[in-house]
Amino acid sequence: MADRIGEPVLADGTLALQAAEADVARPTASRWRLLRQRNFVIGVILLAIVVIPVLLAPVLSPVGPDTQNAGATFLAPSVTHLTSLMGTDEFGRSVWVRVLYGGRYSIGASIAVVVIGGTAGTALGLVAGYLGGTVGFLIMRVVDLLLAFPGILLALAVTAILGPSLVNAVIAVAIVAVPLYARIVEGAAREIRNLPYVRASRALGAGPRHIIVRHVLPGAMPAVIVQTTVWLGVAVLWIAALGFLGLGVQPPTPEWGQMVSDGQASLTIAWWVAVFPGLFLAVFVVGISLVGDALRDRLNPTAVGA
Amino acid sequence: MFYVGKRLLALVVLLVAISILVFLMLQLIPGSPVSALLGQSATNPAAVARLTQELGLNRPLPVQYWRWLDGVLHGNLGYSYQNQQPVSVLIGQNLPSTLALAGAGLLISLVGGILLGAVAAVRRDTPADSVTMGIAMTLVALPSFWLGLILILVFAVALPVFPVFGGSGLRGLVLPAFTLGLGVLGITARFVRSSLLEVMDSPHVVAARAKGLNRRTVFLKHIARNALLPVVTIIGLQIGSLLSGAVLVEMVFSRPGIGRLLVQSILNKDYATVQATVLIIAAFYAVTNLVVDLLYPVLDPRIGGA
Amino acid sequence: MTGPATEGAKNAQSAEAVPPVLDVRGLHTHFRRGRNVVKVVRGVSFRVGRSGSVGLVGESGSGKSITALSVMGLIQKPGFIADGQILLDGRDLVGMPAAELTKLRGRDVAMVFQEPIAALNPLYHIGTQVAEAIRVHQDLTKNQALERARQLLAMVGIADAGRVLRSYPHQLSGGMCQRVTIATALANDPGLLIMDEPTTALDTTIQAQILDIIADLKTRLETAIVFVSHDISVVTQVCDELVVMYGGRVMESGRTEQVIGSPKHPYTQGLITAAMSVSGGTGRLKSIPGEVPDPQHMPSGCPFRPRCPHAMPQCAADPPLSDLPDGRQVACWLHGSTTGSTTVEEVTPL
Repeated sequence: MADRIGEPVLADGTLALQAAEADVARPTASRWRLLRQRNFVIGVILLAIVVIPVLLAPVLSPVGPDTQNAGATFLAPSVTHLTSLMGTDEFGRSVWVRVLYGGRYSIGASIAVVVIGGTAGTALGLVAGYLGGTVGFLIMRVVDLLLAFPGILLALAVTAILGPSLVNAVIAVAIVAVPLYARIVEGAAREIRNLPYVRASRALGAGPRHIIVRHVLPGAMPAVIVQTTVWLGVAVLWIAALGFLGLGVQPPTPEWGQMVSDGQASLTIAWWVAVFPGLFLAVFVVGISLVGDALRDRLNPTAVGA
Repeated sequence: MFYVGKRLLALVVLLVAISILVFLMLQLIPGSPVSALLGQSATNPAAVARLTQELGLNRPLPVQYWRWLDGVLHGNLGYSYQNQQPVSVLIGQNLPSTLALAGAGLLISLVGGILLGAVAAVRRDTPADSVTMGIAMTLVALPSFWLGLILILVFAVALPVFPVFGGSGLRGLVLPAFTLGLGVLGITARFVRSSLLEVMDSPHVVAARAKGLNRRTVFLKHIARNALLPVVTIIGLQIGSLLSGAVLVEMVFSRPGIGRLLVQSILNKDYATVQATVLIIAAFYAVTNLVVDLLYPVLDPRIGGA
Repeated sequence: MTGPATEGAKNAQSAEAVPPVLDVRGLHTHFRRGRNVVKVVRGVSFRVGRSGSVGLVGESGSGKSITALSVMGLIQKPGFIADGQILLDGRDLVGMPAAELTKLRGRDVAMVFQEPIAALNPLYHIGTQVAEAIRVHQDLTKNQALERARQLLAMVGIADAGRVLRSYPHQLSGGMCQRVTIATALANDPGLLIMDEPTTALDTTIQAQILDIIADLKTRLETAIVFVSHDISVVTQVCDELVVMYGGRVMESGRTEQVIGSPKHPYTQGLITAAMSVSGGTGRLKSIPGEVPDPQHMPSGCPFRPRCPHAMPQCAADPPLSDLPDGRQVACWLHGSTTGSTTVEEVTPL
């Protein structure tokens, strides 16, 4: 492969150029943005594929999620009947219906996590970031301590204390979300607090509540929004994980993670029981990730690449 | 030297804080700690009395903490009445398996992530770039427990290449390691890509080419080495994800390990084991992060210098 | 620098006998942007004689840096050389296989960049990096290369060469790093040295030091120099000849004293007036009204037309770079094909 100076070759080191000329040499900036927009559309479509049926669960379910049918156990998926679209499980329950209703629990729980954890975390971050000083320092050290526990460990510990149930799972995952929100909001609050126009505002006698609501909160919003899209995905995964481990929703309540766990025992003879709930979960999370990525690009124009 | 000292001190403080938090966990469990620890045997008054004496529950809380910490530092992690064994033995039996799993997962995520990220960076803005990053994003979004089941279905059931459950030695490690590693691989790939792009655009690369170095030398000596440096920073985070993910993977594959031990202890209300396991995992994560931190000055002359 | 037509009698024979180190003929360098092609360098021609020193002057966006990179063969996707010839010692670099080009770089032509510390790899010692440049083209052991590196550093006025060789880039000042990069560039006795804004990122005092070093090297070595800069006052200190660029084209070229003493092109006049107003006197700074054109939206005809105080209807057509009797070249209808016309005063206040 003889590269010639006149022909395009692999890019490396090209872009170390002066400002004006560099703008010419970076034609891909706009192309990347278009790609991001396309990702956004794909993400929304994926989300719609999952969320719309879940929302319409009662309409799309010929039978209930708990309706057992001893004569129709472990039916393979078939398109003849809506009930058996995704087959049936060991109790003859329609996997399709359970996936739809399970989605309500899974997605609903993750929304609860984000609302509770996000609000608490944001509040904590605002206080710590705005007040600073000893109070802020102590709050952030507690935040650091909570963040010292990797991944799902803290949530597991909390469910160990509180006992297995969907509510406790939501609390457990929310507790993990709080320090993450707090850290991000605290950073933003600290920065905004020192901006010239905010200091001017304080000098003019504006009270802390006014400052926080009018200046700090709006400034921290982009970061919070990005974090929320990320956490909607993470939360639904972790709720499902806890459900899978038997520490979340208790049977017979349908929830995607718990359903996968149910299906694991009969994996070799009835793969559909475990696969479909997980598939919906995966599609939902991929959709959220794509949307979140595009949002992050929109809100953080200086961030490049991943 | 100051760099090292500062971080060692921070680690010690963190470990102490973690131990306090874990200790308090036991106090938060509904009912008395004694009945929590004894579980079924809680009805035996002699056992209750003995344990009460042992734990010094009639003493103030800080003293109890001190006694517990002292025990931990001497290797006494409590006793699991459910398993009729000292917890330290249980952990000793299970830890190596988890370490092997996490190690294999780390290897897969690093090798795969670097390859994928490098392909995307070198062929930036081509379809290859979009495809590899799309794969990376999807991998991150997939629920690991579901991915594990899919891998089992494909590689153990449909194509009987690997054992379905358990499986010892190397063959039994493959599917679980891949399940664990693939999710983390996605994050690594995106990071490697952006790191490479940043380095590829930097002036010293153009300068290296201007010296007359061939493309391969420039890539290996001036791009790759500089780009992989930031990757070290996320290895610490990856280990956290791996430890956290190991919990789920061990449950999916019924593989012995710390993760499975933790989950089973929670389900069995074996709080002594839960407490010790959480402590060990969190401590391990903290120490690992320190080790990674200490690598920076070795790899990057700009950091921690005199 | 010699025009292809008439010559001073003295140089007539030598002009034919000794080919220039660098002969750029009609260089066109373009960049693909989406579906469009942005023409950054649009027909640039100039020559650099052996031991000559040519200053490539122009504002940002004039295409001077891209020209320099083109000569080095460092233009990569999405950029490409669309047309023209770059004759280095008579050999055309355009269309040359990459393997051969790589051999030339660092040996026959070398480059010094704008950001001295950034041009060095932060992870390696200075010594390693200088030795690397040497060992690519010369068969020396590591120690021999380091010894040669020591000599090179001494040549650029670095007193404690040993310490510098053992240092990392971030431990040295900008001025020190620039000396290092200059020394590295000269490691293999290249016939041509290209310097892209080598002093722009440095403090004025350091700037003066570096310029002194360059001037010193110029007299001692036979290396020809191409000095790219937006600062005309800096260029005049080092270069015997000037090439003024604007909008991807050459506006004027000639010996420095000619161009500075009696600039023909309105753009050159504007540059000089602006530079003079900075360096001396009171009152408002003089600048050329208007803005540099965007290469993507280049007006047709003479690129300077929108800002030129002497614009004529004729300027809608692109003026060719034509030779003047005193050996200079100008691309302006004011000095069109009629030789010796001096209808415009030498320096016109703007």
